[in-house]
Amino acid sequence: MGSRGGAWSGPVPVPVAASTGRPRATNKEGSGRVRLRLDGPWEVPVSVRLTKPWLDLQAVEPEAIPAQLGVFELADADGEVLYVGYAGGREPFGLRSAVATAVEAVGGGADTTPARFRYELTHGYLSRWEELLMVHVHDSGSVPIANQDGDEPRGRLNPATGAPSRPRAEPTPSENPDGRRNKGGM
Amino acid sequence: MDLTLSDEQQMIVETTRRFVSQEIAPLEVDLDPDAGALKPADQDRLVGMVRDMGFYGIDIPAEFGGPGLDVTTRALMAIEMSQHRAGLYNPCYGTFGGAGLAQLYEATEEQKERYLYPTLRGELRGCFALTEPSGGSDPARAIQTRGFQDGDDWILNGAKLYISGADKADYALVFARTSDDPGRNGVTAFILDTNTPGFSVRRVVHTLRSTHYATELQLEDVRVSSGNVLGEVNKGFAIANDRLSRQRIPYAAGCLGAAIKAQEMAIDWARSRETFGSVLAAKQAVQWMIVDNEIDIRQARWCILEAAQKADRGEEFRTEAAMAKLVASEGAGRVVDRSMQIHGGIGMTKDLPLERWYRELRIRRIGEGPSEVQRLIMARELLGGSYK
Repeated sequence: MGSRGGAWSGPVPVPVAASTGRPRATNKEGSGRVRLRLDGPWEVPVSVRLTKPWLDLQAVEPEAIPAQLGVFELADADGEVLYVGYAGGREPFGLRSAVATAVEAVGGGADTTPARFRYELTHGYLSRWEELLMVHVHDSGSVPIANQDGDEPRGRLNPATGAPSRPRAEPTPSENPDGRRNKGGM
Repeated sequence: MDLTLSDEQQMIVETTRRFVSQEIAPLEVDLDPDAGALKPADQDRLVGMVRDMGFYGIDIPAEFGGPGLDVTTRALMAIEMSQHRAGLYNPCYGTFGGAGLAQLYEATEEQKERYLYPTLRGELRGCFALTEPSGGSDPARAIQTRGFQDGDDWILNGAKLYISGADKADYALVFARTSDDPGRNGVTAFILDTNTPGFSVRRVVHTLRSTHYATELQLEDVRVSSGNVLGEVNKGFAIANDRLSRQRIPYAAGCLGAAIKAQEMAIDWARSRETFGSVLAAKQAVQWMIVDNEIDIRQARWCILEAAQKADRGEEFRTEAAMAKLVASEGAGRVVDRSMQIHGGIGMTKDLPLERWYRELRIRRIGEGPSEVQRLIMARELLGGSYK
């Protein structure tokens, strides 16, 4: 029970009074995380970029991937994001089957071998997916290589500053501290 | 009030109904349950069909090349066009074409050449940027975006929130405060090219809808020519307000369409689903839900057609439009809720469109003015001018 007597104690956006300020978006450098600041004691964290931890495709059992709706990214061993996908309402096993299907499809390309992935659960998978594509275009000038066959977003986004020059995967737990990557197949 | 349809209206309704059931609904089987667009080839084919039917550009006035439908016929079509999964927010997936921003019909000829006509030809897209983080229900007082004159130009600074289509728009109709008047007499409408330096679409605003998101805009020292002022300086709110009233009738009709389809599904299910030795339709609890659905549907239809007929007669229809919007959006929400209850478990799934309508109808009680604002509009008329 929150201190305000309600059943919900999490962050709550408070409407800005007409006589006072306006929301300001700020960005922690490189975090890809924007905090929408509304006048009042509460802030709404808004993650424009996908900030979940990267997972090694070889280290994760398929059953560990939730069979739920959501979005995901595939990256190669060098950290280049290859594909942004989503698990929609027709996906038989949600993210679990959507990631597996995408790994197989993306992996067929000569320059595209997925090595890691990350995902975010969301019922708003379509708008989130399009947002991630727009952010990728903003950051790198184009959609990921495996999205270039018809997934170009129609819109454009200019998110808050502080974006990395190119979207890259953060080091995974399986990497050595000095940055060398573990070898091995899937 | 005569609710009988003319022969022409009956023919248009039947044609639209056939189009939805035979052309639109079958395509949705292969689309994501939350999809907001058809495959491009299907879209092109169906747009061609609509053009052949003579309905393309459904909201474009006849003098600009549209079919020139009256408000009542347009409302009747809206009721039919929304009776599919995506129909609430994307009736027939836009295959009937758009009209652009209605305010541009009041623009200067030069502005029409630059913005309206290319929009009607499908070459440009516009968006309507009124609501701000400071509030949307009382925009005349909530607008904090400021416009200052600088020579022949204006400089705009501020933020807009819940703006649909801004990320895809070539221009935006932006409302800014341009005088010290804190109310409706200090707001000016500007036509703003979205590639103007300082205009940014900062983020997607995710809502209950998985598709057709809204956006947040930021305006930082955006320079716009005086030639891009729409209407008179400080008289822009009247332009916005006119749209808000007119839009409520088809908006309400869309809600009614979803409710009618949900009721149709509920009746089919109740007649066929058996529990405890008999079909659901034999049980009084279900019968009453079906009846309550029908009452909500007929109330909404009456209010919508009354508002539309008054608009067609050239009479004041602001109160009727507010009532139609209120009754239809709230009633449709109840109808879909009851229909889900009748369906049981499958009603909660994405196998059926009910869950999508349930989410989207919740937004309809807020969009185009929340229920409380509709009541406020009606109260002003009932209680008289002193309470305005």
